[in-house]
Amino acid sequence: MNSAEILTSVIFYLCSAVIILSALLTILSKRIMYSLIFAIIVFFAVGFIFMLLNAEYNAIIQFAVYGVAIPILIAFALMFTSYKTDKSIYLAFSARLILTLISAILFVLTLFNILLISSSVVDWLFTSQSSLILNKYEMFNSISNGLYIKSFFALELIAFLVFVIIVGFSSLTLFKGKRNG
Amino acid sequence: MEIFIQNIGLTVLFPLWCSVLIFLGNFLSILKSKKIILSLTLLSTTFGLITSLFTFFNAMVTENFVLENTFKFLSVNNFILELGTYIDLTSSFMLLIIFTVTLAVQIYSYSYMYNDASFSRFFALMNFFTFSMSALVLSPNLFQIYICWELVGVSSYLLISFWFHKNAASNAGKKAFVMNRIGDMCLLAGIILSSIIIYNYSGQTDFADIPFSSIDKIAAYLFTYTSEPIFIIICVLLILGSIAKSAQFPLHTWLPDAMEGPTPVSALIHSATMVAAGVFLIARLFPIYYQSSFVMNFIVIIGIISALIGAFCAITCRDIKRILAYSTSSQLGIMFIALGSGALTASMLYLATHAFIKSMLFLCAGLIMSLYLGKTDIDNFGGLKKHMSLIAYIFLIGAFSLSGILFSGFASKSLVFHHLFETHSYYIILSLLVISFMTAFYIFRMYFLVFEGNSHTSDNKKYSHVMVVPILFLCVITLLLGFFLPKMSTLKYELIPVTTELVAILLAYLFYVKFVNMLPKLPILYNLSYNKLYIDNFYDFITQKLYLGICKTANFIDDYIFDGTVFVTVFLTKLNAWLNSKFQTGSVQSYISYSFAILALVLTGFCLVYSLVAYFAEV
Amino acid sequence: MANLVFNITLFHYLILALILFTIGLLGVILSKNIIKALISAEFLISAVNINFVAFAFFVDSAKLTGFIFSIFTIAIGAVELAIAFAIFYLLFKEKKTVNINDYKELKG
Repeated sequence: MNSAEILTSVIFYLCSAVIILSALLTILSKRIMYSLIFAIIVFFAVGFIFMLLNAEYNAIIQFAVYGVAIPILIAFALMFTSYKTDKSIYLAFSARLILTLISAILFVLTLFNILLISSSVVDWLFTSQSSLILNKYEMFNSISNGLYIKSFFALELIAFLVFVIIVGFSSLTLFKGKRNG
Repeated sequence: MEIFIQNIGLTVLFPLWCSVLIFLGNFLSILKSKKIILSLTLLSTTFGLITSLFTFFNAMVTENFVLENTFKFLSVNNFILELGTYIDLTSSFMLLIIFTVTLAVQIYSYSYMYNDASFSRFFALMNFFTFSMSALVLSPNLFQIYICWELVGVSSYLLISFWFHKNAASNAGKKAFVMNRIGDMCLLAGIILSSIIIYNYSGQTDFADIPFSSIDKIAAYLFTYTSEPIFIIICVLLILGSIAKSAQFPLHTWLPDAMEGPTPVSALIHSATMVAAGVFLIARLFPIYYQSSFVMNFIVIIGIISALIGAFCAITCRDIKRILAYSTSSQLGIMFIALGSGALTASMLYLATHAFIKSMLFLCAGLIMSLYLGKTDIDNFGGLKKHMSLIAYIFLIGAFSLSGILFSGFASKSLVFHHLFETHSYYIILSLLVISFMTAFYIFRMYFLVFEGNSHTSDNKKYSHVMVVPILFLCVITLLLGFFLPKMSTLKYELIPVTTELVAILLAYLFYVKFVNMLPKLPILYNLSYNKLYIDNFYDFITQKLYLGICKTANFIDDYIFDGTVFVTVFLTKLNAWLNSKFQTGSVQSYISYSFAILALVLTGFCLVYSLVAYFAEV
Repeated sequence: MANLVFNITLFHYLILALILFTIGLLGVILSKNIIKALISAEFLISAVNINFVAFAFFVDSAKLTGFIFSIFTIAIGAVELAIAFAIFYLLFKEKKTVNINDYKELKG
C-alpha cells in the first residue's frame, strides 16, 4: 500500500460518490433546472473519471460535448417549454415503481454476481491500476494517432452523420402547419 | 273354403287394411259416415270369424294339424328370420276367441262411442289391434311374436289414452306402456339369449329364429347346452315378458289404471285378448319351461301371488271397472297356476271361458256407466235390479260363472281342480280355494251393491238395444260353452271348491244386503286392501323420487361440470385477453420497465442456474 | 478485502458504471417530465462510456480500441439527444405540456 495507491483510491471514491449522489439528485429533484445542474455535475465528474483512466482525449471531449454543449441544448429546450413544479417520480406506490425498483435491485445484484463469477475466469479483473498518471500526455499522442490515422474513415463518417442529422432535425423544427397522416 | 285356410294371412291383413282406410279417410276428411266405418269393420271381423271357425273345426278334426306359410324376411349369414302364419290347434283356438269377442265388442262400441268426437279414430285403432293380436297368435316363431307383442302394446297404449286430453288417461297410458316396456325388454333379452345358444351350440342354425314347429327340439337343445342357472335365467326372462303383459306381480299395477280407457277397450283388450297373450306365450313355450321344476314352480308362485293380490284389492274397491280389472289380474293368476302345474289344456280352456265372461261383465258395467253419465263409483248405483232386470240377470249369470259354481266357469275351474287333485299339489289347492273364496266374495259384493238394495234414483232409464245384443250373445256363449268342454271322469273334486264359494256368496249376502250398515272395517286389512297394498306408492317412490333424484344429479353434473368446463375455458381465455390488454398502456416508460424487468429476471435465472450447476459440479 | 478497498481495480469501475446505469434507467422509467427522462438517458451513455474506457485501460492499453470507440459513442449520444429534443419540440407545439402521461398515442 503505497501513497499512489492511497491517493488513487481516495480520488476515485470521492469522484464516484459525487457521481452517484448527483445522479440520484438528478432524478429525485422536483425542479427541472435543479436536475439539469446536477446532470452537469455528473458529466464533469465522469470526465474526471476518464482522466483517472489515462484517457485525456476522452475526458476533453466529454467535457466539451456533455459538459457544455448538451446542457446548452437542454437549457434552450427548457426555456421554450414552460414547466411547473411537480413530483419528480411517482412517489405513490404504483406497480411500475415497485416493479422497477425490484428489477433494478435484481439487476444490480445479478451483474455484481456475474462479475464475481467471471473473476474466476479472467485474471485481470482484480489487478490494480499501475500508477496515477495525471500529467502524462502520451495517451494524447497515441489517441490522436489512432483516431486520425487508423480510424480516420470512421471519424469522418461519424462527423458527417452528426452534421447531417443535426442540420436536418433542426430544420424539422421549423416545419409549420398540418402534416399529412 | 280350403283356400281361406291356406291364405289365412288375408284374415290378418284385412283389419289392417280397414284401419288404414279409416284413418286416412278421417285424415283427409273423406270418410265420415259412422255406418260405413262400422260396416267395414264388421265385414273384416266377420270374415275373420268365419275363417277362424272353419280353421278351428279343421284343426279339431285333423290329427296334429299344422299349417305353416312363411316368407324370408331377414337373412344374415346363416340366421334366417321368417315371417308369416303358423296354424295349429292352439292358435286357431285363440283366433276364434279373439274374433268372437272382437265382433261383440265392435257392435257394442258402435253405440257406446256414437256421440264421441273421435269415433273413426277409435275404430281405426280397434282394427289395428285386431290385426296385431291375430298376427301375434298366428306367429310362426318367437321373433314375430315379439314384433306383434310390441304392436299390441302400442295399440293398448293408444286405446287407453284415447281421451288423451284427460290427464288421468294419458298418465295411465304411459304407465301401461312403460311397464309393458320393462317386460318387453326382458322378453327380448330372453329371445336373443336363446337364439344365440341355438345358433352357436346346436348344429342347426335354421332353428335360430325359434320356430314353434320344432319347439320340442329347441327345448331339448336349450336344456342340454346351457347350465342350470343360465337356463333358469333365460326362462325367467321370457316369463317376465308374459308377466308384464298379463298383469301379474310385480308388473301388475298398470291394469287398474288402464280402466281410464273406454269400456269397449277394457272389455276387448284388458280382459280377453291382450292380457291373454301372456298366457298364450307361456303355452307356446311350455316345452321349454316343462324341463325345469324351478321354472314351473316360479310360474305357480307368481300366479298365486298375483291372484291373491288381485282378489285382495278387489274386495274393498269402490270403482266398478277397477273391481273387474283386479278380477282379471286375479283370474290370469289362476291361469298361471294351472300352467305352472302342467295343465296346459285346462289353462287354455280357462282362458277361453274367462274371456267371454269377463268381456260380458265389462260390457254390462259399461252399459250401467253410460246411463249414469260415465260415473263409476259404486255409491252412485244401488237397486238397479228394478230398472234393468235383464242386465241384472245377465250379470248374475256372469257372477256365478266367474265364481266357478255354474255354467262354463264351473266347467273350466273344475278342469283345473281336477288336474291339481290328480297331481296331489295340496298347497296349490289350498291357495286356489282361498282365491276362489275371495273371487266369489268380491264379485257378489259387486252384484249386491249395484243391483240389490235400495234404489237412489227413481226414473226408469232407457238403454240402447244395440248395446244389449252383444251382451246377450256373449251370455249365450257363456251358458253353452260349458257343455262343449271335455268331460271329466268324476265330479267328487268339486265338492270342496263349490262349498267354499257358496259360503262366500252367503257372506257377501249377509254383509252387503242384510246388515249393510253394520259392517265393520277391519283395521289393518282394510287399509292394505283399499290402498292396493301400497305397491303403487312404492313404485311411485322408486320412479319419482329415486330415479328423478338420479336424473337431477346427472343434470347437475351436466350443468356444472361439463358446461362448467366450457365456461371455465371461456373465462380463462377472457381473463388472458384482459390481462394482456392491461399491458398495452400507451406509455413508453412502462414498456421499458417491462423489458427491464424481464431482463433482470433472465439474468437472475442465469445466475442461479450457473451457481447451482457450479455448486453441484463441485460437490 | 482490504486489498479491494485501496487497490482500485477494473472491478470498481465496472460497479460504478453499473450503478450509474441503473440510476439512469430508473430516471428514464420513473420520471414524469419528458426532459428529465431525456437527461437520464444521457446517464446511460455515460455509464457505458465508463465501461468502455475502463476495459480499454485495464486490458487493452496498447491497442486503443476502447478509447476511440467511446469517442464515437459520445458523438452518437449527443446526436441522439438533439434528435430527441427536435421531436419533443414538435410534439410540444401540439400538446403544450411536458407531462409524459399525456403522450399516449401509442396506446391500443
